[in-house]
Amino acid sequence: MNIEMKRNAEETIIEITGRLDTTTAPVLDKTINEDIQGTKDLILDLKGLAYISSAGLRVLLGAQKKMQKIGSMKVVNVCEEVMEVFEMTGFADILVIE
Amino acid sequence: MRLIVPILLNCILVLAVYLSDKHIAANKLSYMKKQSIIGILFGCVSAFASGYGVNWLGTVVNVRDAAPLIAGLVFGAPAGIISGFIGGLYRWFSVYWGGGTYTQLACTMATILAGFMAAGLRKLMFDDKKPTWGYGICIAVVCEVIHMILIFLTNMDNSSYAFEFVKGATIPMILGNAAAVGFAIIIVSILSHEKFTRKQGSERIAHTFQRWLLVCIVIAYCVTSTFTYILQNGMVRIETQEVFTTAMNDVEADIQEKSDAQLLGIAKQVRWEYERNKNISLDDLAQKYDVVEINVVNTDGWIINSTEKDVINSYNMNSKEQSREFVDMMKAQKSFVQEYRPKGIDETVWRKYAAVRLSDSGFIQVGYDAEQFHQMLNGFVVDVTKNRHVGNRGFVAVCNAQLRMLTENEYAGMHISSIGIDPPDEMKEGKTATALYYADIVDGKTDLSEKYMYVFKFVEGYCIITAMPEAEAMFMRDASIYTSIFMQVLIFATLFVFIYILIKRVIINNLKKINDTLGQITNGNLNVTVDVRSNEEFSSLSDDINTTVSTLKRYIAEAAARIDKELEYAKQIQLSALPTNFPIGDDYSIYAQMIAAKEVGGDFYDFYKLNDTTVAFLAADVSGKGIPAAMFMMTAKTIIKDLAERGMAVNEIFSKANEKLCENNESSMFVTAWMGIIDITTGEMQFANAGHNPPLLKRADGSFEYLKSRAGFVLAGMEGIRYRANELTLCPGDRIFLYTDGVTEATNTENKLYGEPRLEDFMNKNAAVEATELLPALKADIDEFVGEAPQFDDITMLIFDYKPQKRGELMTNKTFPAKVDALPDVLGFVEEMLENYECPMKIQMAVCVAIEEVFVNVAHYAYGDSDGDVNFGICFDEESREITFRMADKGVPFDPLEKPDPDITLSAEEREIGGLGIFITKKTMDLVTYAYENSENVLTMIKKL
Repeated sequence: MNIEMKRNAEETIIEITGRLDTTTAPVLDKTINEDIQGTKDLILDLKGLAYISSAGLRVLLGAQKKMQKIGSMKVVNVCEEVMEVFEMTGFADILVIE
Repeated sequence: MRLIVPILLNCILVLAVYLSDKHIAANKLSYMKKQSIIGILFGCVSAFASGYGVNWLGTVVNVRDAAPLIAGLVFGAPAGIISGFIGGLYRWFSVYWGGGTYTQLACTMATILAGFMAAGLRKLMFDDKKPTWGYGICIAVVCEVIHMILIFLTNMDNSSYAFEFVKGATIPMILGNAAAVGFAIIIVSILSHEKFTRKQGSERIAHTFQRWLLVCIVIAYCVTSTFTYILQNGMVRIETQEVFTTAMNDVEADIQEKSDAQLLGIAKQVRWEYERNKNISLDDLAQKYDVVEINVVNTDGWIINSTEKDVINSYNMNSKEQSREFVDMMKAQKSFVQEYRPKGIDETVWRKYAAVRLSDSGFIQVGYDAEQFHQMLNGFVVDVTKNRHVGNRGFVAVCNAQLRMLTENEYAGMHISSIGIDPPDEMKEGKTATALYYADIVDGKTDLSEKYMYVFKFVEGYCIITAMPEAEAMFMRDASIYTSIFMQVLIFATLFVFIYILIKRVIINNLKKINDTLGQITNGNLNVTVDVRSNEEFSSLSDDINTTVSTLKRYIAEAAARIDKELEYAKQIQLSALPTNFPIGDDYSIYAQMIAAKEVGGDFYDFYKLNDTTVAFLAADVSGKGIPAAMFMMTAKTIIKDLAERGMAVNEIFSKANEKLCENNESSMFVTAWMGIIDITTGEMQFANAGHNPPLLKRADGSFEYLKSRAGFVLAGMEGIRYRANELTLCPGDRIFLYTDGVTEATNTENKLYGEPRLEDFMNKNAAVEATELLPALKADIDEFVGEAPQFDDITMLIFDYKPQKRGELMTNKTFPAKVDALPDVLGFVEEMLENYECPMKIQMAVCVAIEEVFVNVAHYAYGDSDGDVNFGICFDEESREITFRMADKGVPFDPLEKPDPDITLSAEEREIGGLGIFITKKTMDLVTYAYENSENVLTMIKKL
């Protein structure tokens, strides 16, 4: 998994590529919790993400809960396979997906 | 004697009617028709009996009243009334062909009344049942008494004739009718096999009461009747004596007066002669006037002159009582006549004296004896007595001192004994009677003698006899005794009936009502209430019973609730004893369901791997229900499994299990069971049946058919049973369905069974359905069939599918450490395999997610802090295009599938972190099953391509 972060004033865009699984999820979790201080709007770009497991979903849910309080979170460029997992688990209704 | 014929006729008719009622198809007739026929038959007997009797004073003594009584008492109220009317009307019209008119009305009324009486008593006193013969006889007696009273009442103007009739007819009529009724009832009792002896044990209040009331009434009746008899007997003697005395006194007074006047006249003539010439010879005078004695007495009582020379101046009249009376009387009166009596100076001589006062001083006394004055009086005496009557037929007779009759008829001058009076000593001695005497007096005209009562009295030397026929004297007594006894019979009988009915209404009927209700309560209907409010005591009793019942009801409900709860626990324990880790995949699969009925039952199924290649499976049903059955089921299951794991053949398992179960099987429970042991590599199966339903077998290319084999005896039924093993080789795709009778014997509201044909039909229609869906579908079909009816028995179903892996399709296995770090290796292995199967990328990714989830789960939890391995097996069936994944670990037993699915509709705020992994796996895979086998958690997942 590879994470690239672009900060722009109060907006942060995180691009995630590769696999978001049990082994990689803690990395993203750490990034979101520690590296985006002061960000009000978070955009997760999943263009390069082809695989997500429940560990990844857990991180996304945590991020959503956190951002809801201070600003907003948006998920963009979701591929078909990941979208299927979102829909299967009800995350399609929780996350703001564009 | 003639009366015996109608009595017998009654008995024969009773016999005939009773037998025809029992044995012929008379039961087809309605009640009223039957009653009418019986009524008419007995009416005819009554009419016949009316003419067939004994003549008595112009009327026939008969047993006409018996037939209506029998019909009414033995066969029913309407029959009694009908035959009463027929008998009564026959009697009324019988006067046209010679029947007596004298008792026409009374007899008609009595016979009709007999019918009503029998009907009424049967209804009111005997609960519309036949009375015992004793009561029958009593009723007949009372009926005849009423009959006699009616004869009296309808003939008041000629009561003595009526009395004569009743006196003669009462006994034969009562005996005849009572005998007829008594015999008839005895015959019916014998035919219906009643016992004549009193029943052992307690008897009904009504009967006790009836009997004691009867005893009291009879005693009261006897006492009053005896009292009446004694009273009337005493009265009649007094009355008769009064009649006699009156007549006697009249006659006596007449004679005395006549006699006195006669003598006084003579005395006056003698005085006239004497005073004219005081020196006249008294002897001459005596001779002239035909007197025996003439005395001249001075005022001092001295006889100064007399025809009796020896008393002159030597006898003082005061010296004897008889003569002193003259001295005393003559002081005050001018004359005095003394009755005929012994004279004072010589008591052997009877004289009658009269005295008249002399004009200067003293008096002259004239005396004569009976012969002298009787000659003058006889004619007069005959006149006085001949027309004197005592009562109707009594008479007064007069004899002289020699007891010779003074009459005008042929008895004149004959001794008194010639008319039949044997003179008692007193009469012979001339003393007046002190009591009533009896004599058979002969009637001069008819020469017949009849018993008379008489008294006698001596007056003026005559013996006056007053006599009356005893029958006449006793008539009034007998009449009043008869009427009072009859009335008492009537009164006491009525009293008996009324008291009995009253008691029955007030107490016995209420007791019966309460008893009936209690009976219902005892039979389990606790919703009835006792409601007898006719008096305070019964009201309070009713309330008490109702309170008790409602309390009881509450306790029962509480106890039932407690038992229900305990049964529920028992059911859960029982269910938990059945294995649910259904093996799936490999070479075979087993799926089973047990749906317990409301009560705990004894059904069970079981399956286990005996070694790497053999599997055993069975279904069984313990007889009975409830906790005993459940406990027995546990024992049976354990014993069979224990024996099977020792590697025994199926028939040996059953034989041994039977021995063990027979030990101490005191409650006589038994088990039916079907067990198969299969070698999954070859498909060879051995099975045994211990009295169980035959399973359904479906061959891969055929349909379901019952696998009939010779069943052995049930387990635990009898010691020493040997079971036989049957053999069968299963081919891939074969399917065996085991079930218990809860399936085939499921019953709907119309009491129809689900049945084997219907089961076979259903299974064939759904032959291809997966076992996990087939069993619920079968249960649904059974439920639909059963409808509203409750489930009586446990329903147990087990499907064994034989589907050995084809060669070359065996799993590819690889073992990994149970660490999250090994995840990439695991996924690498999985991806590699999937690539081999040419799995689309999209599915590959989804499957990988699913595998990751379950692996991570094991890695985190299975071994805790210690190390362990996870074995993965993957295979692909090209035919069904199914990929099967098998993941096994030796960690703590844990079924990940048990956890409920997360609610995916909640908002982000409400969503829990976690619980999603297994959910994703379940969603992704087509089938996920968990089993704990050989100390391994085995998770099997299937994904269709």
